[in-house]
Amino acid sequence: MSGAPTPAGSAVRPLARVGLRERHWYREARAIGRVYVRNRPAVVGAVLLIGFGLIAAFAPLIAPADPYLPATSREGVFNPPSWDHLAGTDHLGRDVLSRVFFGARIAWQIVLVATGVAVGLGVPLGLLAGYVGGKLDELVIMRFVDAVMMLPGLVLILALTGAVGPSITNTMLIIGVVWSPGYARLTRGVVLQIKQEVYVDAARAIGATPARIMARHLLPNVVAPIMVLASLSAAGIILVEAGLSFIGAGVQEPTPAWGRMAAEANKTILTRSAWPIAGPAIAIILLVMAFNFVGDGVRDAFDPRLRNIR
Amino acid sequence: MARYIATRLISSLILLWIISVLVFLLMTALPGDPTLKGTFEMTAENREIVRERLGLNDPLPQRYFDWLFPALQGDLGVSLARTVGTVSISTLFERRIPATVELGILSLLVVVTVAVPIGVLSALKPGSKREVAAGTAMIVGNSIPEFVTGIALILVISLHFDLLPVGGYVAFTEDPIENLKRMAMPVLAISLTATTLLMRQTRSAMINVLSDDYIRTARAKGLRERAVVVRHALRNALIPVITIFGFQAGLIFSGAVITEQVFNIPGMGRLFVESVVVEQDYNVIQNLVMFFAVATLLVNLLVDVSYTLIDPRIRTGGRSA
Repeated sequence: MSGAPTPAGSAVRPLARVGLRERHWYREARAIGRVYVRNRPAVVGAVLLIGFGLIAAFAPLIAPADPYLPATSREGVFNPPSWDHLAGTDHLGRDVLSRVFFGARIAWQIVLVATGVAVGLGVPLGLLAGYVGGKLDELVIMRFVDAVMMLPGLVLILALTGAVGPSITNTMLIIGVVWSPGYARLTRGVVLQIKQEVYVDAARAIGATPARIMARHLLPNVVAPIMVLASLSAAGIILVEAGLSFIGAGVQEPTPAWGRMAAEANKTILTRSAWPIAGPAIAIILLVMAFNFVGDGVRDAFDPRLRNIR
Repeated sequence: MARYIATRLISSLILLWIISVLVFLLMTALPGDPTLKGTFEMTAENREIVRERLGLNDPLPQRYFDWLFPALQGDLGVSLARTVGTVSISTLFERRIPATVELGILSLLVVVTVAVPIGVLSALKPGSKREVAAGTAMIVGNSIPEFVTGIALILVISLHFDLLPVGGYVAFTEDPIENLKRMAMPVLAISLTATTLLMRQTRSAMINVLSDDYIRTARAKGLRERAVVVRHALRNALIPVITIFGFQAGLIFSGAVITEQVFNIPGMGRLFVESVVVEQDYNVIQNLVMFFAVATLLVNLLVDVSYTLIDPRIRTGGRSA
């Protein structure tokens, strides 16, 4: 993909120890980093992501109140933002800002686990389809991938949720399953290209098993495109999860998932107050935006054509 | 051209068949029993009677064909969650389909009429500052979930300015004006994301095409700029744009599911959510997935047809004209 094939999988070991600065992956990473930091929105996105990461990691320390603690009197519910409650309180009088902070944990958890599941399912499937090829590829795996990818994402997710019931674990797994065909298709495409390379023939000639060729020679070439796809699809995962929790088919009350908080707040926007919806809505938009900017930046950074532009 | 459309049609039908098998297997192979999901508990004997009556004890292939063949003739079976009496899914769908189809068609229309002209205009004068600003604005537009757009519209337009009703659905045949009034905000909420995406695609496709040699030729022979842009550039730029448009059908249907919830529209999306969250009605879910699959394939078929209208190479099937 990116210029010279990665030597990570080659059978040749360096004779002498090579200094860090001369290592291939080090120079590669430096080049990628240089292109990335040129893209200002991508840097802003990365800073936002780190911010959300810190909030998620230290939520119990920085949250001003207990996210599950309801108010003890009627005066405590539907409060507008104030110094005591920076984002106001919800219909039960819980502090919205604290719930938004804890919600960051849910969001990160879902992105990481869903992406892990998608990569874990899609990449082996794509390796198999691309390397083994033939009927398995044409008639089984790719037809399956086509069928899954043709359906609107939310429809498929809802159908699967209908089958196993809504919960946070199911939501993460289902989003992973629904996102996996994209990884399978991408991996297959890369493998079909790399398969023609001489070093794959050479490996086969010295008697490497298909499993070894896939793991040592094909897989390393897939890593960079997979990272790009993962960072591009994170925003979509957050949006789908928020939508799913909003309609009640995702994370359930009282877990402070942003989409669920927005749905609870939505029940009373016409009768009581619209304030409780502001916190989760802004959080969703900021995190999705951050992932979108980072995704764009990562895609450009891995594009070798952009390396020599100053 | 007929041949091209025919092959696309056949491959769509094969895809539909694969989806029907997958969905059927998913709904039957998973643990759980529809007779356990009812609102009241049944004795084991009664459950057995209900299972027998619903055909749940039949072998799998028979159950599949018992679903497929009547479905092809318009009989989708009965709702499982509503075991008291019989509720025909076809009747259920008949009542729910108009709202969703209208929502989908209006949204697709809005997306095309807004995204393509703006995308083209923004491509005509690509300045580097402006390009970055436009790109950034599009990413921001892309980052707002449909339900947030919808709720924001309700708060501003309905609650603050009191211009439009907050939701609900009135059939177009009953009162066209009221119908459109109630559709306006949901359609806007659905279209935002799809519009920004398509705008971006149109823009980059136009920028690509405008640097081609035949554009220079067209200008050199003295054509007015308008003719160059519309007849020479846009027509070629439209091909990748239409492809993206096909992908967006899915986006719009996903958006409809959520927006129907926000605006209280009794459509297929709401039925889907009710069937999944409240009733866990396998039979209805299975047919709903097929509905959305058919709808998406129809849009894609439309995309294929418009390819042939725009690109003579496809019309003649790759033979030199």
